[in-house]
Amino acid sequence: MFRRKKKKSGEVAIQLTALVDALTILLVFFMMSKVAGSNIKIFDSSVFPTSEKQAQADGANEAPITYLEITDVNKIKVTVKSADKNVFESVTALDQLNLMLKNLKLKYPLMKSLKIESSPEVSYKDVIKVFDMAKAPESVQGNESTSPSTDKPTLFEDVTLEDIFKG
Amino acid sequence: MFRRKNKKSSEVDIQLTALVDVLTILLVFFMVQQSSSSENIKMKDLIKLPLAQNGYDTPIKENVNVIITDGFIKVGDNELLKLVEGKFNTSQMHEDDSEFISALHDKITNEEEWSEKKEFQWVLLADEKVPYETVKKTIYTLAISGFTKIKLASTTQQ
Repeated sequence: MFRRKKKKSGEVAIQLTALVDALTILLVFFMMSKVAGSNIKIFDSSVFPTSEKQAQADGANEAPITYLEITDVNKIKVTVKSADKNVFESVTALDQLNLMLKNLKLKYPLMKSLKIESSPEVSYKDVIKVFDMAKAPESVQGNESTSPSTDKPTLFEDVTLEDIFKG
Repeated sequence: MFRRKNKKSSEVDIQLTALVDVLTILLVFFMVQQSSSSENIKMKDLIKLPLAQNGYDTPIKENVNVIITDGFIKVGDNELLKLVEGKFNTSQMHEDDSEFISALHDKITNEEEWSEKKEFQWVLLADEKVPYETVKKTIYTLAISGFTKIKLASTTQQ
């Protein structure tokens, strides 16, 4: 009787070990698939248009605002407005835009807003590229806006699709 | 001596049971998380999101996913409209407003499944090749229909 009981206990222990192994394998599988499936990131954009005066007020009183008109990847018109006047105008390509935005931010450190208008044929990919550049971490001191992904200051706090209601 | 050995074996049994319990709880936790992100995995087969590194994480709950591909628009799991080369056809648009997608508006405002989700985040998961015009018209229609918490999705790796 004692022997049989002892054997049974040993079997249970072996089965438990197998169960632990199986659970561990399943756990590792789900943890790995969780890591693989969590790479989607989102960008925020206000969808309602802002008047220039309101935009200036939003941009910390008279702070300059950058406007982008994307015709295609090789032709992006960049305008910086301050107090209803154009203080900077240039045309650049998408692959040069990042550097230009960084230089503009150095020149106008109070600037927080970027407003984008795109021609209909521009791909969603290129619009997202511009968002990505605008939300890149930057090292200007005293800027309160931060990148949600890195907690470092971002180049532009507010990025808006200005043409949604313009038709 | 015999007694001590027996006690040790019993301790091992108890620890294994506790370990099984802990592993089971962890497994259930990850399975629940997995089911909430299953939409992401299904979506990977449908579209190629644009690459970007500086977006922020999507909250797991209170999201409505709007998937835009070359061929259709899906809201949640339901395919609502067909597209041709990523564009709407004129029959889907409003007669007096070429930016307003009447067909989309009618479906999301008339069905309770969507109409009650105005406070949710509507995340646009558009294929990278879809023209901006399509995304713009979708945002415009959602905003006019009262769904104003609109987010644009990207991915950090493909």
